Amino acid sequence: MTAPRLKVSGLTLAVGTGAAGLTLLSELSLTLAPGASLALTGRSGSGKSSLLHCLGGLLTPQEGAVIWQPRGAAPVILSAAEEGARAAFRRQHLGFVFQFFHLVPTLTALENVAFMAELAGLGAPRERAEAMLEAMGLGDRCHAFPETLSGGEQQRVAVARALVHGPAAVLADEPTGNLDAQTAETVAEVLFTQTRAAGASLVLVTHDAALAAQADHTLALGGQ
Amino acid sequence: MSLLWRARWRALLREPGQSALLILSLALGVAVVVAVDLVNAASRSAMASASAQLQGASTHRIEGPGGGLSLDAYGALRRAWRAGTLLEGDAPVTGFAPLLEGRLTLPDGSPLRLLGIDPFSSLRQEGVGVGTEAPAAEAPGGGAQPVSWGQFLTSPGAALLSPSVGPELAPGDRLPLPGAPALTVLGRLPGTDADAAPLALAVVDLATAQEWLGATDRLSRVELALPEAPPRSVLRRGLERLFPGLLLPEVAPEVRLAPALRAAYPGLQLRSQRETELALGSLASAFQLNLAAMGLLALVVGLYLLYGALAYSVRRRLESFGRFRALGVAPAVLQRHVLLEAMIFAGLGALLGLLLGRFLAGGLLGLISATLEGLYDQVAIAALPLDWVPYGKGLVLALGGGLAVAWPLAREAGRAPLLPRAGRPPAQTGGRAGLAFALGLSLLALALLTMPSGYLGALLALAAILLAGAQGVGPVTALLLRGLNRLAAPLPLRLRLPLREASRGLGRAQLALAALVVALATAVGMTIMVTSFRLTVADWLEDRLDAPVLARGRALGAARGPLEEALEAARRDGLVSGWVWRQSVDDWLEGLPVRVTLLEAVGREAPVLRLGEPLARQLGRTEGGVVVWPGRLPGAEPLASYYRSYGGGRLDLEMPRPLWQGPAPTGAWGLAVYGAPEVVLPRLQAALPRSGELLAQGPVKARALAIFDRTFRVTAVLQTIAGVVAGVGLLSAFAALALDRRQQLSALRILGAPGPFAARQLLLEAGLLAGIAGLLALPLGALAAWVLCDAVNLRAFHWTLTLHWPPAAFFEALLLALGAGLLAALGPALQAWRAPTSEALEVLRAQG
Repeated sequence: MTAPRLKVSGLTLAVGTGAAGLTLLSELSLTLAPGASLALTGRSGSGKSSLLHCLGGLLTPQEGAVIWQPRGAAPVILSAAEEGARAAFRRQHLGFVFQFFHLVPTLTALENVAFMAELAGLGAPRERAEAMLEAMGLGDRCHAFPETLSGGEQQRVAVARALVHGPAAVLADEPTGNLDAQTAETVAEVLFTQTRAAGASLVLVTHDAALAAQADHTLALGGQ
Repeated sequence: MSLLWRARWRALLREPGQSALLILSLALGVAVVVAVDLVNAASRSAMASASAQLQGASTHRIEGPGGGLSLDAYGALRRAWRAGTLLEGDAPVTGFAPLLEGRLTLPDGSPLRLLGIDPFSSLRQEGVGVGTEAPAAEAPGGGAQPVSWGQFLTSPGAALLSPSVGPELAPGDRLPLPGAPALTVLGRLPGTDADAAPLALAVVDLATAQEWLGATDRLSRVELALPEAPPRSVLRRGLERLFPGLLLPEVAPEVRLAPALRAAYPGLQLRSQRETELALGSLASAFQLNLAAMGLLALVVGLYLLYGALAYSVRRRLESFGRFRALGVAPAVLQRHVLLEAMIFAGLGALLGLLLGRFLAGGLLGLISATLEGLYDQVAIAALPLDWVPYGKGLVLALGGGLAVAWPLAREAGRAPLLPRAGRPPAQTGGRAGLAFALGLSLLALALLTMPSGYLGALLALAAILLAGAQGVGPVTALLLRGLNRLAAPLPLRLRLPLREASRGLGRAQLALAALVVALATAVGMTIMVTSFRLTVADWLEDRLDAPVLARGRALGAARGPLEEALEAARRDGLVSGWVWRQSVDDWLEGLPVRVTLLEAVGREAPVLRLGEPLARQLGRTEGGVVVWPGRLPGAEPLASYYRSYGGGRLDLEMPRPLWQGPAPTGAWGLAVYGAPEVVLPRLQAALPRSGELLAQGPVKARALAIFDRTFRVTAVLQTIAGVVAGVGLLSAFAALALDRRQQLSALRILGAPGPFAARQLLLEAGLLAGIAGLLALPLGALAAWVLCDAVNLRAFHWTLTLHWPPAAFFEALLLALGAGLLAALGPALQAWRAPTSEALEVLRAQG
């Protein structure tokens, strides 16, 4: 049997202290197989983004563990790792897609993608980025700066950036939340197709039921 | 508070550090202007007060040839005055007072001005004597006490002292003086504001002064009071108060001595006190104008930064201004909004600046006073006057400047497009860049036009060159960054990213960079000028003080004989190869106040008639020619080439003693002896008069250079302040750049960039921009130095300086720029380094 790509056990996350404290996640456990996708849904404030951030080592849970099994490497308990080790893990084994793209405005589409490959310490970053953008259908927009790209194009560049270094998983926070329905559909298709093609797992946060339905698994948070 | 204001207020509160830095940079600029004006006003007030004390109620003075007045001529003048025939057309004279003025030394080595008066003359004002009434002199405790004129005339050494002289002394106490009999304190001079004029003055009986100064056969001058001295216009007085250092020529009806007196005593000269003040004060005035110009430079740097910050703030909000307009807000309301915001910043900066200026003035007081006293023979300043004008001027300049820089931005806000434009807003539109280029070229043209037109023109040219340079900073930096970006193409993206971000951030930082370039260029220019000046003066001292042994004294008289004998003996013994006597006479040549040095050389090259450079330039005789000086020189005397001269006060010339036909010199003397100090000094010591002083060459040169260094310390202080203003601007600009990049760096942090990555990016970006600013400041500074040396100094002071280019000045400027940039970025960089990833998450959440 294949070891899960991600294992979360007994995860508890609270924000604030005392009377103002709020428990967002309580003793949550899950596993995700390599190449599988998981949609996190729920109403606003249910803790789905917080869970995604815990998975990415951006937030530290009070209890429980987030264990990643990267490709060809020993498992990593990310929730217990130090800040520097978490950053290193993210740049080598994870990819992120944000709702507002967050591309570097002074770098072209190609450079934005190549930058991630460079950050991960991979050779030939430019060639890798070119291939990735080509796969995203953006071969002719390589040298465009982000402000000249449409929202959908920017998000596809962001997906290319998330996959260029061959991560174990892609974490996407409302990846279509800032796009119109038609563009959202295109981006979702690219996201699922390319993630699967890269053999990476996908965890995405969304309010969009149609998008969530495309995932292999759905986890509804906040009592739903 | 309107909702529009509430929205803005909240935005300002979100970036309190930015607002505080902006106010501080403007405040520092205002502070320098206020401080320099306060000290200049104090200096002027001290001069005026000292003049009033020395001149009393006199409006004019009569001097004889050589700046003195023979007793014979004085007798004739007095008789003519009593007969009412002193002036041409029998113009009335209400006061007539003989006066002998000289200098002694106080026990602490500082100078004491000695004024010999006739207590029965009709001119001395309060405290110094009016008619035969006893003046009300003040006791040290403050209570007025009548002075007995009997005691004044009969007690040996009885003197009225100004409050600054031996303040602890009580009436009857004695004040020993080196090289002169002791003074006996008779009382204090009232009417002297110790704060405004701490003139070290002793007033004694005329006969006592004649004896002490060794001038029994002459007076310094006769002072006159003319009843209808033309009042100085309100405008003229106002202008001079507003711009301390500015001396406007007096337009007054000419008053002349009666023809009979002129015929009998051809050397007599009648001048107005104002004319004399103008002639003697012009050098100090140029220095004060220099200081005022530096003060204004600091303010311009501050206003530049205000413009930069406002421009960025307005352009960032153009979209929201457009939305307000779309909602129905009138453009005038938005314009008022921007203007009011600028006024609040300018007002707060000005108020803080006024306070800082008062403190700064206290610190500058000693430095400026030392310069005026040491270099220009002006009165020392002890405290600042209560004068509202410098404060008012600082406030008006800050508010007016704020309004001027905010006006175009307010118009831009009022015309904000109703619908947001698509695409990236350019950092600088083509039209604006063209305008900046045209402005820069116009400023350079202005510099070329004004440079040859005199001192003020040269200063204007300097300002124009600096401003043109500032205009060029943005476009040139952008061009350099573009070039560097091309060169850096093979480098990894993490190294190229700062280049790209620097280009993007240029719109935000370019005014702060321009301010830094102006401050650094000024520093480079001033350093080169001062270094060149110092090396030139050192060369000059080497040339002028070539004798190993120097002697000097107050009055030579009978002391010359023993010294001559000692020198002859030393020469016979082969210890001395020669010597040169120097004695000076103060006089007027072609309407200019001059000091004539009479030279007698033994065993040395024969001296010739030469003018000092400042005099040669003012008379237009730098190419030689002849001097015709009736009563002083036998005929039209040929001039040898001029010699360099860097003194202040009177303009100097030198000639062989036998050529001089004016009155015998009775003032200070000097002697240059060519022989080994270790053997010559002991030989001459015995023959030296009590008031004389023997010095080896080395300490004299060292002392001269020490005075020079002290003189320029104030320049260095002002230069530093201008640099600090620019530094604060840079701090503010780089902090803003870091704020602008928070979102982007946070995203990269989440993607896995390590903590130091963001810090390195910010430091590289700041270092790059500041380094370019430093590089641009170097040629601009060299140009400023050239203008300062070849135009400003030559036209203001008539001093030729040999330009030296110390490499240290350039390296220091470059290091300073880099240091300032890195220091300014260090705070945000450390913050970015230390911030946990959760903070990056918060930034993305907050900014969307």
